Formats: sequence, C-alpha cells, structure tokens
Amino acid sequence: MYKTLVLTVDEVFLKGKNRNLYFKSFRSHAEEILRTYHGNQFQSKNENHRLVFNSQIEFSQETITALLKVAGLHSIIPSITIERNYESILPGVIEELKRWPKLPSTFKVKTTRPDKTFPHRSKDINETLGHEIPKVFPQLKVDVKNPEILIELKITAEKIYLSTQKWYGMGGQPLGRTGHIITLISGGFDSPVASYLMSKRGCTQTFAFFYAYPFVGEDVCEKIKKLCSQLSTYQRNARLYIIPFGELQKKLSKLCREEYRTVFFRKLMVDASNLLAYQLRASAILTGDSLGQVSSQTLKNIAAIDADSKKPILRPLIGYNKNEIINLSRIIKTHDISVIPHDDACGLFAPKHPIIRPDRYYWGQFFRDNDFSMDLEQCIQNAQIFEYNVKGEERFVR
Amino acid sequence: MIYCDHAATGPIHPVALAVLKDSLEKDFGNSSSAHSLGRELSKKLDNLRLQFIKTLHAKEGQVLFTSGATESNNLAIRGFSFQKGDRVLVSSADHPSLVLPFIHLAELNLIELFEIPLDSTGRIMEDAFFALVLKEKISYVALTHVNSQSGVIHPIERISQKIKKMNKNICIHVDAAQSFLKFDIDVSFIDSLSVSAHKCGGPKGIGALYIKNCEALAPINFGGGQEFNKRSGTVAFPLINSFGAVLKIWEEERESNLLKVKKMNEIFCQHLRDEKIDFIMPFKKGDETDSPYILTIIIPDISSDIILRHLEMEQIFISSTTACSSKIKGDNPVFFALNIKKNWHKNVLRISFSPSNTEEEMKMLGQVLANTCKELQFLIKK
Repeated sequence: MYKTLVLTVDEVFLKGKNRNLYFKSFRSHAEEILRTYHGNQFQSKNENHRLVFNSQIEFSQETITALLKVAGLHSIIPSITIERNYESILPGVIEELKRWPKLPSTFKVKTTRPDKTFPHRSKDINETLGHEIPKVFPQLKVDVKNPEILIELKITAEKIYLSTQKWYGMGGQPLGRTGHIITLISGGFDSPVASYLMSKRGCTQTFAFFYAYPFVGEDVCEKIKKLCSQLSTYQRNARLYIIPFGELQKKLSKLCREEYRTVFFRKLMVDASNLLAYQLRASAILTGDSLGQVSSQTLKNIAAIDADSKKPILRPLIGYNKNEIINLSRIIKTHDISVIPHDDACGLFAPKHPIIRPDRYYWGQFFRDNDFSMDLEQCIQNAQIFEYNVKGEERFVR
Repeated sequence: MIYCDHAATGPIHPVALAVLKDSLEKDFGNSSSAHSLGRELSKKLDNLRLQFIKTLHAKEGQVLFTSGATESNNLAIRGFSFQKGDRVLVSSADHPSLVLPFIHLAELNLIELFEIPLDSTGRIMEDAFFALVLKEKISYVALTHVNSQSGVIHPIERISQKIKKMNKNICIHVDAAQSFLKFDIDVSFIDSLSVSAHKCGGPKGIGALYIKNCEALAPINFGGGQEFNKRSGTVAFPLINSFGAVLKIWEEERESNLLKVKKMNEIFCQHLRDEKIDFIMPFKKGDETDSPYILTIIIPDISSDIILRHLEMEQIFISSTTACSSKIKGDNPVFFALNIKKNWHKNVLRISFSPSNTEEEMKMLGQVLANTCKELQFLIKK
C-alpha cells in the first residue's frame, strides 16, 4: 500500500549540538527494524531531521507496527506516489481517502512544490481540491484551522507524494541515547511496564530475573522469557540473565529474622544487580516499585535498600496506581502474559508480619556478620543468558 | 538416579528390550500379508494372544491389542452400544481415560453419570455402592482395579460377581492398567478390561483390551479390519512380542516381586518414621487392599512441588499426582474424589515402586526426603 514513510522525531527541538547524534541513534534503530521486517530493499534519507524511507516494495502493516515501537519516534506519515501530472491528483486523493475505514468531517489540503516548474501553483491546487473533494465525499468540509484530515501533497521533479494519515509513536528519546540499565524483571504487571517506560526514555536494557528454583518451577522461566520477548520489541538485542537464586534465598532465610526475609531478598537482588551493572557497564538499576504497594516498598525499606546500592535505582512507577499500571500493561501487550499464574517465591518465603520500618542497626550488623559477596558472584556466573532481536526472537547465549 | 514414578511409566525390562530390538529387526512383515512372511507372523501373533488369554482367564477371540490402556478404555466405552438414558456408575478418582469418555457421552445427553461412593481411605463403600446400583437402575459400571493415586486394590472380582447376581445385564468395565501382571486377574464376571505394557516393564505404545462379547463391540476406527475388525491398523507385532516377554517374566516372578516391593515400601516408610518426619498415609490400611506398588503420603505444610524439585536436584524422581493430572492448574478432581482435605492438596506425594528398585535406593530415597523436609522446616508459617 505505502512505499514511502516519513518518520518524525520527538523532542528533537530540545536538543542543541547533540541533534545529529540523537538523530543518528534514531535512524540506526529504525533501519534495523526495516532490515529485520522488510529486508534490505529500501533507501533511507535524512530530510531536515525527518527520516524518509522509500522502497520499491510496499511496507507491510507488520513493519509499520514495529516501527511505531522505535523509541523517540513522534509519528509516521505514510505516503503514496502519484504520477506527476495535474490530472492524476484528484483521482489519487479520492483513492487514498477511500482507504479510511471511517472518514471524519473536516479536512484541509496542503500542497508544497519543491519543484517550481510544475505548471500549477500550490494555492490553486489547494483550492481546486477543497472544492472537488466534498463533491465525492459530501460528509467532508474544509476547515483550514483545525482539520481532522490533513491532505498533504508534495510535488517533486519526478513524482507527487500524497499522504492523509499520521500514526503516532511513543515519543521519548532514541534508544541508547540515555544509557544502559539493569532491569529487574518478575512475572507480575509492574516490572514489564517499568521496562517499557524506560525504553521510551531511550535506555537500552539487560533484563535480570532472579530464579528461585527449586522453590519455583521451570514454568516461571517460560513466562519471563515471553515477557522479555515482548519487551525486547522496544529494544535492540536485549539480553535476559536468569540468575539462580533459590539456594541463596534458602541460606538467607535460615540466617535472618523471619520478618526481614522479603526486604533482605530485595537487598540481595539489588546487590547482584550492582555486580551485573558493574560487569556490563550499566549506569542504573530499574525496578517496578510503586510506593507502598507491598511491605518491601515502604519509604523506609526503599531508603534502606537505596543506601546499600552503588548504582542509582530507577523507579518510574513509584507514583502509579495499580490500575494505571495494568492499563499500561494492556497497551504494551504484557498484560495477558502477566496474568498467567506462576509459582511465586516471594509469597512462599513471605513472613507473616514483614518488617515495614527496618532496624538499621540490625540491618547493618547482619550484613557485616554475613558476607554474601561470593554467593552473589557465583549466582551471576551461573546465570543463563538469552538474547532477543527486535522481533523478540530468542537466542540462547550461555 | 533413583526412579520411583513407576505408576506413570518406567524403564523397559532388559529382556523385553532385547526381544523388541530383535523383533523390530526381524519381524518387519505385516501379519495381514498373504505371503509366507505375513502368515508366519500371524501364527506367532496367535500364540502371543493365547498367552494373554490364559493370563486373564479369558477365552479365544476375547483379547484385542491396542496402543495402550487409554485406547482400550476408549474403545470399550465408545464402542459399547449405550441406549439413551443408560445410567453409568464411575468414579472421578479414576484415570481421565476412563472418566472423560463417559463425560463426553453424558454431554451428548446419551447417558447419565453417577459417582461411586468412596470412603475416606479411598475404598468403595460397598453397601452404598450396591444400593445405588439398585436404586438408580445402573446399567454400566466402570471400575479401576488399582487406583493410580491411592494404590487401593478394589475387589473387582467380588464386586462384579455380586453385580452380575443382582442383574446379569449390567455391563462391567475395568481399568487394570496399574494391576495387570502385578496381581492375578480373573475376568469371569467382567465384560471388558484394559491393560497396558509400559506400566509393568513393557514398551510404550502397546496395550490390550479384554472384551467378553467381541461381536457386539463397535469399532471406533475403520480400515484394514485387523483385530477381528474391531481395531484397524497394522498390527504392531514387535511391541506385542516384547509385551509377551514381559508377561512371561511376571508369570514367574509375580509373588516374589510382590514381596520384594512390599518390603521396599515398608523400608521407605520406616525410614521416614525413624527420622521423625510428620507424614500421613491417607490410603494405607496395612492389609491386602493396599497395593504396595503405589504409596501416597501427605507431608503437611510443605508444598509437594518444592519437595519434588529438591529431590529432582538429587536425581530422585517421584511425583505428586498421576502424570495425566500433573498439568492440571487449580483443583485436582482426583484429590477431591479421594476425599483428601483441600488444605492438603498441595502436599501430596506419590511414590510408586517397581521390582527393579533396590532396598538401598529406598533407604537413600527415605534419607533424602527426610533431609529435604527438615531443611524446608523454615518455610512452615507458625
């Protein structure tokens, strides 16, 4: 259907001297999507920080849907080309408007003529079409101020480009521009949504899943892989580390006061993530915490965990309500995976009365008395690693 | 490796394997072929069939080979000419291949289902059972000889005889997948009975159906007319041959195997008791109604899934429920039917033995299980 796509970049206006770097990252990501979904048969051009893709073959809906997941994309304007003569314009526009499943009520025609040798002036074309279109589509009226459809014509030396639609992307920052982070992923709703939000802010990610085998079964790994496969469509070759954690959880449980179990698990997960971040040169750790949602997410517990973490911990969902998170999970299509029931080690180990205001003295003393650094190193070393391409296809790494 | 999930399936007996290998290589012909190769196989098949007939105390023309007990159950039930409104007595504690064909027929509004009354130890409450047969005018009874979860041996011969005395037209089908060859079976008062090879050291993919009135059975798959026109499909001669080898071995070793397994079962239980493990045996009565081949225990407060994974890390394989029910998410109907308390459903372990296990293995299994339970005490919420 469409052989030309014009991609506009979000937040480019905020950038000064970095504009080119910013655009380069965006372009390279979008081109990778095209190579994966569409093949190598396309040309790509930078037209004033608008990325234009042309191809002899029509871009499929699947390709366009994948492109809409490129971080930093403001919108895609798909164009068709019509023959460069005045008589072809109106039939071309009518044809294109017929593709709308349901036409709104107002429109505007905007013609630009980079090729000034074209015998009709832009203004004349606009006026003629504004007059002719309602004859074919009586429900359409001209509204030059707030049109619901903007019919854009661009007349070049070879062809006329016509577009009537605009699909919006998720905006934000191009992937890789803001740094690499370790995303703590679990089978619930929150962490996948947190991952999406940080993809939108341009962070490349390595997923870390703390696998409590033999306290949980292998089913949960399959679920995590499904989630990562979906989240990786916002990423470029993201990796998942499945970190064996059951034995360490058992060891910790026997050593610490029962009410501290959950929050200490989290502390050890953050410690392990710090190690992984150091190895992978990641700048921060991402969690799906939402303030007060469960006992380990009280401000006091968050403060205690943060105090022990060398890397900053990002918590984009801190101010989100559960419903808001679930709604977002539906949009990013992780909802139906998150609802699959799975063994939950947290519930299993959960004390009857988890601590909500930890005793900092006990906390400090416990970790001075019990050194887990070797165990943590071991966990990271024994992790299984999987990699996901932009299509979400999995590859076993180690 | 210690394998104690023999009620699900088990390794093939070395002799059966040797027969199978040899037979796969040499007996490649089709027993239905008219040439001498086929005719010879056909003769051998007749001889093998005779062995099964003898073992079951059946008559000629009453044993068909199938792919296993599931197919046998389906063939017996779906091939039976039910009349609209027929009333069937069956237990939800039994294997899905026995229960689901009836549920299918009930959903088509052809038959009506009634539940076999079981007591808290998984035994049939005989008084209530016979009263139900009379009161509800039951015309078909489906029994299991040894229940795959509880290990209870139901007195199928006595019950069948009594039913036939009450009304000889009541049809009786028995699933004997867990008992065939391990216990003697007399089909005199039984109309049809299913058996399988892989539960007793034979190869997978082969079983048999005893059917008293073969004439009346309607086939469920059509084709070349093999197995008296009741089960079309090229006869899997090498598998039957191997099954036959297993049958011979068991005929000789049945009693010694039973004693051996009984002893191993006891060693294991004693080990747990010696280690002071808090466990419950909801179905074991300590009499001739227990099959020593299957033991179900409940360890309150510790999730069986977690225990199973701890054992699996030590290369020890047992299970919590029947393999055909292990993928069920949520409630397990077998546990409900066997009257296992709801709060214990996640604490059930099934250990199923074979004569190929050793006493050493039982000690080891008892030891590792006891250690695991002790180690997991910290998970118990006080």
